[in-house]
Amino acid sequence: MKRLLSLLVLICVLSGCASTNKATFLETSTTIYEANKKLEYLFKNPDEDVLLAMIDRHASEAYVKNELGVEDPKFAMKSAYISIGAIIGLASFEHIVYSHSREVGDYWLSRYIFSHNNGTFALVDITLTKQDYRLVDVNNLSYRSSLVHFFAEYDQQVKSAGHEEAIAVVTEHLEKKASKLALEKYQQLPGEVKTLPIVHETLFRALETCEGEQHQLFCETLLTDSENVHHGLLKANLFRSMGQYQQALTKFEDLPEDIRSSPPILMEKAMVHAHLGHKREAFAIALDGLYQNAGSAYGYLIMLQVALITDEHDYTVELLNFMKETFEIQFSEQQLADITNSENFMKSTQYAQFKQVYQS
Amino acid sequence: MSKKLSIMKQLYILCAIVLMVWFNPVRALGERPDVTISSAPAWASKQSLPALPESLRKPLHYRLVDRQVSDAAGVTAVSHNRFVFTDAAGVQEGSTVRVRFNPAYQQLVFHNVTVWRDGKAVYQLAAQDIKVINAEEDQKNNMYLGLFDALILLQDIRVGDELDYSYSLSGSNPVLGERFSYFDNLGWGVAVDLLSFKLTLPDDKQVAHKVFGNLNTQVQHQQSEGTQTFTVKVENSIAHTVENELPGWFSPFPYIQFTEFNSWLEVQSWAAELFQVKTEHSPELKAYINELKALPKQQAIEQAITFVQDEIRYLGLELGVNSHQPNMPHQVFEKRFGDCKDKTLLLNTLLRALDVDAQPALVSTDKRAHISEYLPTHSAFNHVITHFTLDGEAYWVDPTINYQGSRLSSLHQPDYGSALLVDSQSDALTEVNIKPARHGIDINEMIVAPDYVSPVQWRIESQYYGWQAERLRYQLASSQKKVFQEHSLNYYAQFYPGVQVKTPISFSDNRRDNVITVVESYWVPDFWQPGENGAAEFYLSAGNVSQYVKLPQTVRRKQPLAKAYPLSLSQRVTLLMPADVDFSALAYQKSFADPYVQIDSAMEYDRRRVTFHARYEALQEFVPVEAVPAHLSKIKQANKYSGFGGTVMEVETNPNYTLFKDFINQLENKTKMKFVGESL
Repeated sequence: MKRLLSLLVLICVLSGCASTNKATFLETSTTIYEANKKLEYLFKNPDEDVLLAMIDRHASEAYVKNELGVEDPKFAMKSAYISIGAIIGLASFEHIVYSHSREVGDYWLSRYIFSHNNGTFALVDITLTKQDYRLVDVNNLSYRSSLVHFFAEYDQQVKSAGHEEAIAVVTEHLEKKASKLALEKYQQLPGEVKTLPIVHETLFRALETCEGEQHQLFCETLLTDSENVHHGLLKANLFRSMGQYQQALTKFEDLPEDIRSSPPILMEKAMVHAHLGHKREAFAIALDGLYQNAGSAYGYLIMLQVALITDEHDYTVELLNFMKETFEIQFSEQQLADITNSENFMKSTQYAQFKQVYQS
Repeated sequence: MSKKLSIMKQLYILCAIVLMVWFNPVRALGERPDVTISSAPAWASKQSLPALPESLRKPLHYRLVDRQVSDAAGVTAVSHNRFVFTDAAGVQEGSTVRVRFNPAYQQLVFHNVTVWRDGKAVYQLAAQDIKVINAEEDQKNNMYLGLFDALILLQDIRVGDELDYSYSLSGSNPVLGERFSYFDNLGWGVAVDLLSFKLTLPDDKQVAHKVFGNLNTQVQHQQSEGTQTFTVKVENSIAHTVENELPGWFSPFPYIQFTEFNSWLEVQSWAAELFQVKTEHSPELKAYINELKALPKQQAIEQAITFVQDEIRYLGLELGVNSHQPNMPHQVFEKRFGDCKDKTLLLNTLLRALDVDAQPALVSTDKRAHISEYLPTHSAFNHVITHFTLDGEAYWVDPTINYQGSRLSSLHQPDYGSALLVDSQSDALTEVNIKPARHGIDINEMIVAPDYVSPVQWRIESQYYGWQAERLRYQLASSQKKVFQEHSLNYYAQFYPGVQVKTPISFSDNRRDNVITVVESYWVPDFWQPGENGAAEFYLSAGNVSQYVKLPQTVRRKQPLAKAYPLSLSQRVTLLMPADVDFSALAYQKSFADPYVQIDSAMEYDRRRVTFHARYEALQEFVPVEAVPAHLSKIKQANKYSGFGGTVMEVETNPNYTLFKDFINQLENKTKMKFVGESL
C-alpha cells in the first residue's frame, strides 16, 4: 500500500478556467464549498491517514462501474490508490492558483491550477463523490484521459491483449532519454498496436523531452501517428517545446474554450506569440492571464515569461522587484537561469546593475 | 397614431394584397390615380341624423359613421361620416380628410365634403382640392405596397364647425370569382351617436353572416323587389378600448362577417384552381430539377427550400410594374423574384419533382388558429405556405422567410395555428402541428476584476437558437458588423457608460443546426462603484431576461395580454472577484411559475466567483384577461430578482486595493505601452 501511495504521477499541466455548466440551471448549494475545503485540507496535510480517509471502496466501485462499465473490485481499489498518488504529486506544488467546483451528475468536479514559482503548472480535474466527498479520479488535462480511464483502457487493450512487454521496452528507453532506441523499438511494434490511442498516450506519458534532434524525431513520429486523436493539451505543449510555434498555436485553438482561456494556457500562448515575434499579441494575452490572477504572483509570472522572451529587460527588472516586494518571491541566480529564455537577460546590463540589490 | 410595421408584417400585407390581386394594374408605377367627384349611388340611402346631445365629446364628437355596401355590380362601399370639432385638438386632428386606397383594384369617388357652421355650408369640395399622394410607409426597405392617400386639406376650420363627408370605394377582383365575402367593423375606438351598416345584395344570393365581439344588437334581414338587405344600427356606440400588447388574433372592435361560401371545401376548390401549374417548365428549370434529383432526397429537399427562400427575392418594387397574373414556376425561377404565392408554387413544383407530396396551405398570420371561428371564406387568409409530408412527418415551410437553418430538422416552422390545405378536399381546416424546438438565447458572461478600481474585462458569449437565430441572421445580412458593434456598445453603455471595445465582435453561424454564436469583449472602467466607509459595490444584471419580466403599460386590463412566444432565455453572469470574499450566505434560488411563464433566478458563490443566473420561458402566447391580475402579480415578484448587487467592505484598507492598478501604471510609465482600455 505504501508503495502505491508513494507512486507519483508527473503532471505536465495545461489549464483552463472551469466553465459553469451551461446545460442545467444553477443549483445553489453550500456544499460546493465543502468539496474544495476537503481537498485543500488534503493538499496541506498529505499524510497517509488523511489520504486513505479520502477514498472508499464502494465509491470507487460505483465510479468505475458507472463510468467504464467495469465491475472489478480489484481494479476499483487500484484506481483509488492511483488517485491518491496523483494527489501526493499535486500537494508538492508551491501554490494553488485557482480552484472551482462544479456539479456533474453524482460527482463534484473540482478544477485546480497548481504552480511553482518558476512558472511550471498543473491543470487537473479532481473527481469527488457528492456523497461524503470521496476521491475517485484525477484527470490531468494535459492528456486524453483521466487516470482511471487510462489505466482501465491500458489493462484492457495493452495488458490483456499481450502487448505490455513490447510497450514497456519503448517506455523504458524513453524514461532514460534514449529516444533513438525508443524509436527503433516503436517502429517494430505491430501496425495495429501503433494505431491504438492508449498506446500513444502511454508513450506520451513516458516522454521526458522533445528538445534536441534525436528526441524531436521520436516526438514527431508519435505526433504524426496520433494525428487524428485528441490528446488534451499535450500536443500543443510538445510543438512548443520543439519550437514549432505555429503548430502549437493551432493546437491551442482546438482546445475547449474554458481550458483555452485559463491563465496557464494563456501563458503558453503568450510565450508562443513572443517566440514568433508578436510582441503586442504576447503582452495582450499575458495581460488577460494577469487579469484573472492579479491578487497572486502567478499572473505576474506570465508577464515575466513574456518579458524574458521578448528581451524587455526593463520590464523584467520591474517584475522581479514587484514580485519580491509584494509576494516575497525571490529567485536565486540559479533559479533565474533555469527559467526558460532567461539567457539574454542574465547577460544584459540591466541584470548586471540590478542583481546585487535584488540578491541582497 | 400609425405604428411602423415590422418587416415581416409588411411582407404579409404585401402578400395578402397580391394573393387577392390577379389582374393588370390600373396604372403603371409612378402615375397618380384619378379621384373624381360625383353623386352617391342611388341604392345608398340617406341616414337621418340623431339630435346633438347637450354635452359633446372631445376632441371630436362623431354624430354618424355609416357604411353601405352593395354587390350589385361588383363590390362598392359607400362611407358617410359626420363629426363636430369640439376643441383645438380636434381641429388639429380632424382637419384633413384622408382616404387610403389601392388603385390596382380600387376606384375612389368623393360624393360630398361639406363644412357646416351655424347651419350654413362654409365649404364644399372642389376637384382641385383633392391631392393624391403615395402612401408608402417604408421606402427604405423597398416595401412598395401600391397604396395611395387622397387628401383634402380643409382650411379655416373652427371649434364648433361640423364636417360631413362621404365617398365610395369600388373594386371587384375577378380572381375572387362570383362568391361574396366581406368583413366590416361595428365599433371603433371613438364613441359615435349612430353607427350604421347596410349590405345590399341580389335576393338570390345565399349569404350567411356572423357577428364577433360583445355587441348587443340585431342584424335585420329584409327582402324586397329582387334585393335583400342586412342592416345593423348601433345607437350611442361606445368607444372601444384598444389596450397595448394585445395578441394578434384579438380584435378590440366588434365586427361582422358575410360569406357566400357554404363550406371550407368550396374555398378549397376556389384556391385549387388558382394554384395549378398551367405551363411547361423551361429548360433551365428542368436542369435545376435534375440537379436536385441527383442529390440524396433529404439533401435535395433542404436545398430546394434554401434556394426558394434565399435566392428568389421577395416581390418588392416590381408590384406596380408587373402584371398580377399568377407567375408560373419557370417565370419565377428565371426572374428570381416572386410573392408568397409565386414562391410557394415554385417550391411545391420542385418538391413534387422530388416525389414529395407538397401542396399550398392558406394561413392567417394574425388570426392563426382563430380562423376556425370564421364562417368559411377565402378572406380569412393573408398568406400561403407549403405543406408536405416526408417519412410520415408533416412539415410546414414558409418560403418567404429568409436565412433559416438549412437542415430540415432545424428549420423553424412558424406556428400559424390552422391552415386550409388547398389540395386536400377535406372540407376542414387542418391544425398546424409544429415540432417542439428551442427558440431563444443563452447568454454567458464573465466579468474579470483584477482589483476594486481598475477596469474589468467583460466577455459575453451568446447563442441564438431557432427563430432568434434566423432573425439575427437576417440582421447580419442587412447590416455591417461594425453597425452591429455600435448598437451593442450603445446598449451596454446604458449600464456602463464608460464601456469600450476590447476585441471586435465575432459571429459564428452553424446554419445546419440553426445556431449562431456571438462573442463580445469589452473593458468596463466604471464597474465598481464606491460605497460608504471605503466599500466597493457591484451589480450583476440579466438585462436580456429582465426586459420580459416587467409589467405591461396597461396593467388593469379588459383584454388579453400577448406574450412573446415561443421564447426561452437564459442569462448567466459570473464575476471573478479579485479575492475570496464569501458571499455564500446570500446565495439563493427562486422560481416563479404559472401556466404562462416560468421564471427562475439564483445566485451562487464559489471561491472568488459570484454567479447570477436568470431564466425566462414563455409557456403560452397570451394570458386570458381573467388570469392577468394573478399573472402580473407573479411578474412583479419575479422582477425583484432581476439582478444581484453586492458590496465588499473596507476595500481601501485591503492590500490588493490598487495593487494591479499601480503595477500597470508603473509598467505603462516605464514602457510607454498602454495596457488597459484602448490598449495593445
